[in-house]
Amino acid sequence: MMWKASSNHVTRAALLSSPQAKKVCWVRAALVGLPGAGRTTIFQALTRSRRCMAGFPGLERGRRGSFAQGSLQFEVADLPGIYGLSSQNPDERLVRDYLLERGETVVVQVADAPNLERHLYLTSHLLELGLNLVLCINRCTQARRQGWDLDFSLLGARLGGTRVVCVDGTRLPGIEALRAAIVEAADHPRTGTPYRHHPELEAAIGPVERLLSEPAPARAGDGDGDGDGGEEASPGAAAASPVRPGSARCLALALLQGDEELARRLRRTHPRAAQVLAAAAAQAGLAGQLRSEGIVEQIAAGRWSWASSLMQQITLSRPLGGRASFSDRLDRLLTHRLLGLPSYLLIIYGVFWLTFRLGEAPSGWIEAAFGELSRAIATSWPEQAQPALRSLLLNGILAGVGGVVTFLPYIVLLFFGLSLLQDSGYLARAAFLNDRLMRRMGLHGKSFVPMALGFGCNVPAVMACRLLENERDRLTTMMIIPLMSCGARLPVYLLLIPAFFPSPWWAPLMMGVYLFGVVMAALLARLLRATLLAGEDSPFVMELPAYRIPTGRALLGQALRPAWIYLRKIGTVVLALSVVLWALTSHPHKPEFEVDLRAAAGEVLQPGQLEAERAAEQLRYSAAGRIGKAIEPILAPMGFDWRLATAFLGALAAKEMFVAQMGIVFALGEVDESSPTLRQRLAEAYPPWVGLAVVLFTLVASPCMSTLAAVRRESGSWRWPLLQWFGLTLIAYLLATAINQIGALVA
Amino acid sequence: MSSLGRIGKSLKQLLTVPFASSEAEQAAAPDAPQPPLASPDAAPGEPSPRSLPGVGDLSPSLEDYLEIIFQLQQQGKVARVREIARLKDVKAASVSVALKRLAREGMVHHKAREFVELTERGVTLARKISERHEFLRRFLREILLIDAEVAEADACAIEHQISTQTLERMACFFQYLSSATEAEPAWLTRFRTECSTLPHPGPPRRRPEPVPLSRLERGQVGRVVRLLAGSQVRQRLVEMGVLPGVPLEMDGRSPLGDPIRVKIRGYSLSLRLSEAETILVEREQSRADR
Repeated sequence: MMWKASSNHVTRAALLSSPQAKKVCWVRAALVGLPGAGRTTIFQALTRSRRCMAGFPGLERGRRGSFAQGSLQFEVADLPGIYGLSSQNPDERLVRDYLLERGETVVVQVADAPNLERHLYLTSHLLELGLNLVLCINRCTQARRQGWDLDFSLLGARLGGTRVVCVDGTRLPGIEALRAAIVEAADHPRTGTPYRHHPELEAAIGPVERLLSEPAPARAGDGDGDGDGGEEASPGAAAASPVRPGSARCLALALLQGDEELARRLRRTHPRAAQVLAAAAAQAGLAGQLRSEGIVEQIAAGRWSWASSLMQQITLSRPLGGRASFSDRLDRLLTHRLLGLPSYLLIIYGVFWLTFRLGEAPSGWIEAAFGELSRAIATSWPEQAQPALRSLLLNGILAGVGGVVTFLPYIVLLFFGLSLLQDSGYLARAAFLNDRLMRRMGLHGKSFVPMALGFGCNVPAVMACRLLENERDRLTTMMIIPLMSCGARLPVYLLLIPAFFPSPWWAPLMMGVYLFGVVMAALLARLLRATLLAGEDSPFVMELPAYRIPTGRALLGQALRPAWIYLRKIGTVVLALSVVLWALTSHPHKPEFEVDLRAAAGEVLQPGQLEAERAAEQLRYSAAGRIGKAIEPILAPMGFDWRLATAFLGALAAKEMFVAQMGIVFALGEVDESSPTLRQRLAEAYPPWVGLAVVLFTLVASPCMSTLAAVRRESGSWRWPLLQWFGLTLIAYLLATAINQIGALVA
Repeated sequence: MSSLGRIGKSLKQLLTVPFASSEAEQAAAPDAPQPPLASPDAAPGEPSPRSLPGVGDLSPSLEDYLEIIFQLQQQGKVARVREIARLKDVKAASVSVALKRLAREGMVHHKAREFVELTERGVTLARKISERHEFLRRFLREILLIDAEVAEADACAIEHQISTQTLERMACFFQYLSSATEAEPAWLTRFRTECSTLPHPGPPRRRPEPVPLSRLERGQVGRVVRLLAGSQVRQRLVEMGVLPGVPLEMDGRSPLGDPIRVKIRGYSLSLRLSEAETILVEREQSRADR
């Protein structure tokens, strides 16, 4: 553990005297606060430079940044929004463990002035941990305009000298004052008056706390205490060799309130786990008997009454009630019984339409630029010199990078739109509006947004799943997103449906495919919730925050971050996989082509036919073609032959590749989805039910690599994307087999 | 009046046991029943009359345990942990903890997994506790003519909270009533007649029946009474400020009818119907009625 109890609060003097001082003087600060308190805005304003630092375990959902003030460098972590620290919600647990483990030098709580009482509830938790707290009160001017007059200096005094700073979003004077306060807090730490529960509760907490912090009886508790920050071992181990005075207390409180997850962890790591847990259960039972309420209510009631009495002390005047606020009036329209849903659809549609509309042009430019680049290379690099390397660069790397970067404008715009929805407070309404529908599917109200997004592209849709707070909801939504038929699958349908079916059927079939995907998604989600991701529904107890206009700066920051993650994390995987696919389709190299022999024998070929036939032969000869041939027997029940198998192999990278691969296999050269010759060939080669099987197979089977890479990134392990790939492919296989068998039978 | 006579007797006993644990005080106690109004100015001098809610240093809960064990022993039964847990409606683990504390105070003999026995000191104290309970119950029942059920419940509620001073005064009042004259004083008779002519309040001041939050109509105001939810949801609810005693206003439903929204503590909170079912509220006058 880097920050032992003694070095909890690193003063500037201590930092300067340490040997590393000459290199960097890092002082660590963390921003905490309720969701919607304006943490992110403050964070953006506070940190000029954004830099990523290693070694923040379990903080994927937080942000980090830094700023310099004088000789000190401040590293600021923006922790997820929480309401308290004792709940069993994953975010709150994460923040709790983070604060207990990392021993931040300064902790800044961002609070919202117009609604301060709720924020003081969280303050009671933070004071209890004995943190070096700076209270940053946001939207002071707005509160004053509403009629609040609060005595903040008295608030600071009542909290035992805690520093209180007033800010107004990104306005500079406030931010400067906040910086100064953080520096001052780093220099002269103050822990404020620790929050105390009522005596009977204290009597219950005491024994558990003591047991927790007693050092291990037999073996030295140091072994697992010095964890490398592994998420699991930490708090229990921290308790075994007490790190901070507040730590044992906080854990004791959580145990008294029946935190089962913590209990499990403790059993693994704490030498006296059984004793501690028994004591906690007994004390909780005793405390529960003293009053008519359970211990959970008692603890919370104490905190709330502390907060409201504090509010009474510092309130000089409060707004007069009466006229409904602008936000309330807007809400009456946007969640109206009849107008609510249409306006919702309109807003979501508007965001997506703008995204794809505005993204189209830059995406086209990028595509064109890559086209130019590869053409330039192709012309300047003679075909004979290093043909393998040339092909790798042109067809492997450039094609892969191009494919990744073309999506970038969409990603940036989409996340800009999503942040707009979230920061304005509309997203909470969106969840409120269709939670019932989504819940029927085993999902959460907020799942609707990523799902709708999936119709555009699955990759940003998977990334948008982070809107969902609950892990199970997030995973379930992620797993079913590939069933939302994305734009890349459209060319496949456009090629196949007209090839096999008469024109009156086109529109209904197209519609049917999309609907089929949604129904499958609903069924699969329910299946997942009943098996792998079984568990109680996460509570929907959620604030509907007042509407507000988000700042452009915060929006931009929130849009660029996912773009960066997309490029760095998802892009690299996609690039690697596309090089592998390139190798599969172009190796081994065929030494001589039959079509050349035929041409030499005097056969007359049409212009372009030579290249097309060569490409087809090469593909057949390549590893991909051989694999296609090898798996033909497996695919036979679906009615697929080696040509379709090879095309699907090519479509692993991106679904739209299917069309191009079909063109090559049928020796037609470069084709697109509206090619009449290809349609004709297809209709000759396969019966219509196989056509339908291919369409549904394209929809369900084998999500593209980019999606898989995104799922890997967002779920944190390869387990989920692999399960997704195999699961969906199996389902598609069974489905297509059924269609083919029934079709053959009927015919 | 025979009932008063009985009370007078039990009163004497009662006042011989002071409500403090020390043996010395107990020894000094027999002189306690002084004429009630003879030493009125002695009262202010007494140390902190509200500081002793129970007997000695025991918490109300521990007093209850002692009482239960005492009753079991009186009935000739063996007091076992499981039996005590059943009577007090708590988990066995809590009983063990309580027994450990009682043992530390020297009130019981108890080793793990064995039956419990009161020590001599424990018996004395337990007797005092149950006499105090009995006295309060009778005072309510026989002097104030409270319904039996209510008297029992109120005695339970009062006994842990009442100060030594008030209890002593009440006892003195009794003695005064019973020793003043063999016949019932005229004013007491008048009081009794008046009591019986009073409209019977039934179970006093019946509060409105709590209903689930989901039953509230839009614009109706209620006050939270209880939370029934499981630990995860409950934890979340209290974190959002939904606690017994807090007022809230129903603010309508989602267009699809399921999540509802309420105004509480100055902000909007949305929750599912299934979650709202678990919050019991007392309906208050709606805004429209006022």
